[in-house]
Amino acid sequence: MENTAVRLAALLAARKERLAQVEAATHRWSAVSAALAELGRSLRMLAAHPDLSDESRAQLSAPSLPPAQASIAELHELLRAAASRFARDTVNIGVSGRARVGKSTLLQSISGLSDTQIPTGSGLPVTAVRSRIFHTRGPERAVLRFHGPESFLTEVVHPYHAQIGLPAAPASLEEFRGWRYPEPEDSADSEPVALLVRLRQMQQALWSYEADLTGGERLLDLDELRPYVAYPTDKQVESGDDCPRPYLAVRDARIDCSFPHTDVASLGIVDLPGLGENEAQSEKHHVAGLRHEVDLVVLVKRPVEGMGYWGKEDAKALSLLDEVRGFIRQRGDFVELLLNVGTPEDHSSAPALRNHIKREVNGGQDGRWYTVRETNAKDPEAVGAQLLGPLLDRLAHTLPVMDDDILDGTVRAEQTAAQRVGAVLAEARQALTRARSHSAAPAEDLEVRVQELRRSLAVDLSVLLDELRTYAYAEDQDPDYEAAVEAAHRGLRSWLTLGLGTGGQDDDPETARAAWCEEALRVMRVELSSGGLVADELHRIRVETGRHFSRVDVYFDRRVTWLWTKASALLAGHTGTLLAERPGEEGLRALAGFARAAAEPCPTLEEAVQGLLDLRLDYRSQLHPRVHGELERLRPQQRDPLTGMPQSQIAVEISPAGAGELYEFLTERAEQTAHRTRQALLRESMTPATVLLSAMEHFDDLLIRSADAERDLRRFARSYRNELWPGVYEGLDSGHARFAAVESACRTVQETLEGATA
Amino acid sequence: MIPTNQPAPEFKIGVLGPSRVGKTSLIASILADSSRFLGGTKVTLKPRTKDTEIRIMNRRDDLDGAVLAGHFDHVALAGTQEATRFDLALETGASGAGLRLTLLDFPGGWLKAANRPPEQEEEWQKCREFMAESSVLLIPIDATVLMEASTPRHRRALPATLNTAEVQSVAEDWATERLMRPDEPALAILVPVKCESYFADNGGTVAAGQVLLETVQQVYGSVLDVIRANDPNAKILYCPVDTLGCVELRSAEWEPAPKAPGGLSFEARFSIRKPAKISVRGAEDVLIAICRLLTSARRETEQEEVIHRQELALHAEALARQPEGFLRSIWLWANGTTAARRDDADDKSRLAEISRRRALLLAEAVDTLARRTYSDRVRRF
Repeated sequence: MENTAVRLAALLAARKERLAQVEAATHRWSAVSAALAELGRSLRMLAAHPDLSDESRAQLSAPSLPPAQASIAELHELLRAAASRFARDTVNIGVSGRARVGKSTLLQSISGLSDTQIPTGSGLPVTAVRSRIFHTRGPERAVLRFHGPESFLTEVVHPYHAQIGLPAAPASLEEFRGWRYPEPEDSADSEPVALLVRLRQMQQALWSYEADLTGGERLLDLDELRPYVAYPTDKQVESGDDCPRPYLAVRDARIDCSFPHTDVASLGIVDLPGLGENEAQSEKHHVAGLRHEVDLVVLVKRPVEGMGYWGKEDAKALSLLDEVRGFIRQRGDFVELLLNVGTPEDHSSAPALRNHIKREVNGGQDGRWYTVRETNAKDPEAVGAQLLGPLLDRLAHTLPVMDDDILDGTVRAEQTAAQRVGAVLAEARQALTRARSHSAAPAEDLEVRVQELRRSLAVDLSVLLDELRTYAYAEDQDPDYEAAVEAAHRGLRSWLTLGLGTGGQDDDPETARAAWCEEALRVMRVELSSGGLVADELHRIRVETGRHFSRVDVYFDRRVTWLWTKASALLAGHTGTLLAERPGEEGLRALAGFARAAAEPCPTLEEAVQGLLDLRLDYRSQLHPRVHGELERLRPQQRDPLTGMPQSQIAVEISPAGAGELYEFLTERAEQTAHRTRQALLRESMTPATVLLSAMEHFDDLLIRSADAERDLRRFARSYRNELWPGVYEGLDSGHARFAAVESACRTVQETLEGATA
Repeated sequence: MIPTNQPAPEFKIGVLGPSRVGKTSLIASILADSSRFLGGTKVTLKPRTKDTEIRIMNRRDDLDGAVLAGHFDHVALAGTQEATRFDLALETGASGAGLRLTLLDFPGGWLKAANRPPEQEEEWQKCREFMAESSVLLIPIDATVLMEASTPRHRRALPATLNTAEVQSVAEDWATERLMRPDEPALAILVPVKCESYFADNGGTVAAGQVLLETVQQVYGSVLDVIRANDPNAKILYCPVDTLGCVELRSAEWEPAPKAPGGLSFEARFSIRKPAKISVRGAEDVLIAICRLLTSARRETEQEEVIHRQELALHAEALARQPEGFLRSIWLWANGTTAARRDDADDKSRLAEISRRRALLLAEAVDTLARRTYSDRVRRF
């Protein structure tokens, strides 16, 4: 058995790899599921459009969608079960059986727990709560998970109401506390009566467990465990109607304790309350729990009076377990039968039961379908030798087979789901095509309008471009530009004649000159040289020259604004109400925003408009480089053009005459530079016009002639056709968006499906 | 003066340009620069008449005054008001061995018929005849006007300011006349003047010579075309001249012309470049060009003379009466051939000796100048 334990441990480790596979599949199919849900929503939205015919609407209902979704839901359940299975760190064995077959006794023998922790009884059923018991070498403890009020009412109380046939059910604990239940009466059908009795007992004992309905968990010592997992004893029941029933608040219990069989380190035992006799609807819950939690179920039978044969309840229980088996091919791999033959009476009745099982369960051949073991559940040693040992040894062989079966099963389920999703896609696309054909008239009309829009935009843009070309290549200079340059030149001349900017506006040139010379002489006398003054003054003149000529920026701003106004007005003339009341730059900014926010992206259109808005025309960037050479003449040292050697421009004696000479030199040099700069700027008069023309040509290329121009214009038109053509497509905008949404959803489903089945 | 028993033929040089372009200043500059240019040789270029000497001196005084004043106002110079001949003598240092160069400077305004006073019409016709007889046509061009026309408006005003249509008309007449004198070479020299601000080889800092050349070709393209069309053999030379050398453009303005609605007038202000010393540049190229023309003509004449002598015995009488071309006349006069033909009875040996000596000296002087190389500014069109 020790060897078996090692093999089982290795199998548990190998399961983690399978877990990764399952989790990846779960993730992929979650994406498919979400995409499918979106497709469903978009189809419903489209079908609800008033412009669609009833026929289109019916086709868009996508009847194959719910089965596909159900398939995926089922697949998810299978994947969850597989994931739970592969995530476990223990081999879990479920123990099931009707009351009084010795199930709790068997659990005690396996787990080493005592009667004070897991109750046993010979008459009434004693296990009230599903428990999971795990072997541990650490501290022994129990973790209880409690119902909250809501889950208590919906999972415990309401099923009783339903099964008894009560017309309503309490919505709160208060209502439950005050609920007036009928008195139990004798009836031919004893089941409702029994359920009613139990329901009243639950109501009467509410005081004892209400405080535990917290929805949380609690850690208990094992000695405190019994009242939470066992029905009250006969004595407690007989003591009165207010018998405490704390187990009613418990959803399930996990018990960690040290198993006496020390070589089964990775073993868990799941106590399953008797199948076929639980409270209302508990069997479903039970089965779901089993699917996630156990690797094998031991169905306990005991040849006691009334149960010494293979009865209807046994068959039902086995049938339920067969459901749980799922993709495991061999049912005998998942379920084993155990005959508890602990007492002499059991021994005497055992052959009859054994034969009955052989006949009813195994088709007359021992072990044909199910393995049947026998042991004395009271005897831990016998349990170890006759049950646990051989069972685990067998599991060491069958567990990987069962795991393979389950993985194969999920793959088949994936294939089924993929087929169904594919069917949904085909159905949706077909419906979409048909729906489109019914609304083809507006679509064709829109296409015609888009083409017309493009043509008319192209024509108007060409007119504007011709205007710009005329302007750019005209023999005549723009008088505004020339005037701006001349004004800047005049300003500079005025500046330099007034003592190189040192005189006031009211000074006459001679006064300003005299003041400058006086100050210059003072500086030269302090510095004992004219060099510093020359350098400073030339630098100042150079800066001032640049500053004055940069005033042509006012002209440039006017030209750019003019272009924006023209372009915006042109576009506004073709875009319906979209750019109404938004002239010039504002209109262009709005258009760029519309392109950006369109339902379908229009990147080229946005780039075209943004490019026009980014147009910059200014002295500093466009013209200064052209006059840079002229301004260089205002450096204190110049290179001799013949020798290349630097030479000082001037040095004067430190005297009033020297100051006067320096003033003449500086004004002469400043005037000369001002003149040359002006001439250079006037010669560059075509530059601003050329820049504007180039910007507009680029805009025209992107908007009309680029590879994506038509696509973007079409997208833009689809997104804003109500604004572009007011009144023409009212009500159809949303229709288009809905078509687009379905198309988009189909694409997403297709992509996620390909990802899931790759 | 050249003592000879026959007057030395005039070597006529037409000077064609509008008012205030700087024609007189150009001639004065050529004369002023010739002393530097001809330094180290026995050759001199001097006024031949007192009248010419006074005119040249007056212009020089004007220019020197402007330099001393520290600025130069282009529009302030008075233009020539009547046709003026400049008689110059290219002398070799030996008696009688010189060349008479006559330049005709006429009022530039006369180029426009509207500006010509009716009483000067006869004088104008004489000017045109002089031009027609000139082997060399000097066309001074105001470089400042050309280079400071920065806008289309300015450029539109260039033909009116430079009288290019009238220049073209006279150039066409000249070229046509040249074609009718196939034995005489033809040389037209475009002489941009006031070039100081566009070359960096004479104290300036801006090297815009190429731009100037292109602009001249563009603006005077039609003038060049009519010369080429009417006399395909005519040589055309481009010789930019710094008439003062020490000036630099300070500012220039194109203002509405008060007497011509819609027209513009050009005014330029110049600064005097330190050191304020006149430094003519390019004028020697004009002289070199003229001398090369004379040398070329002499060689052709000598070759033809060999043929003449071979035919002398057969056609003596006819040859004696044959009219000579202008340049041919100069060289025949210089070596005494014409006189020999006309008076066989004269003492041939004495005259021939004088003529040979005179011819040799003149040929040496002209050849010396002709061998000089042009400056880098010169272009052949």
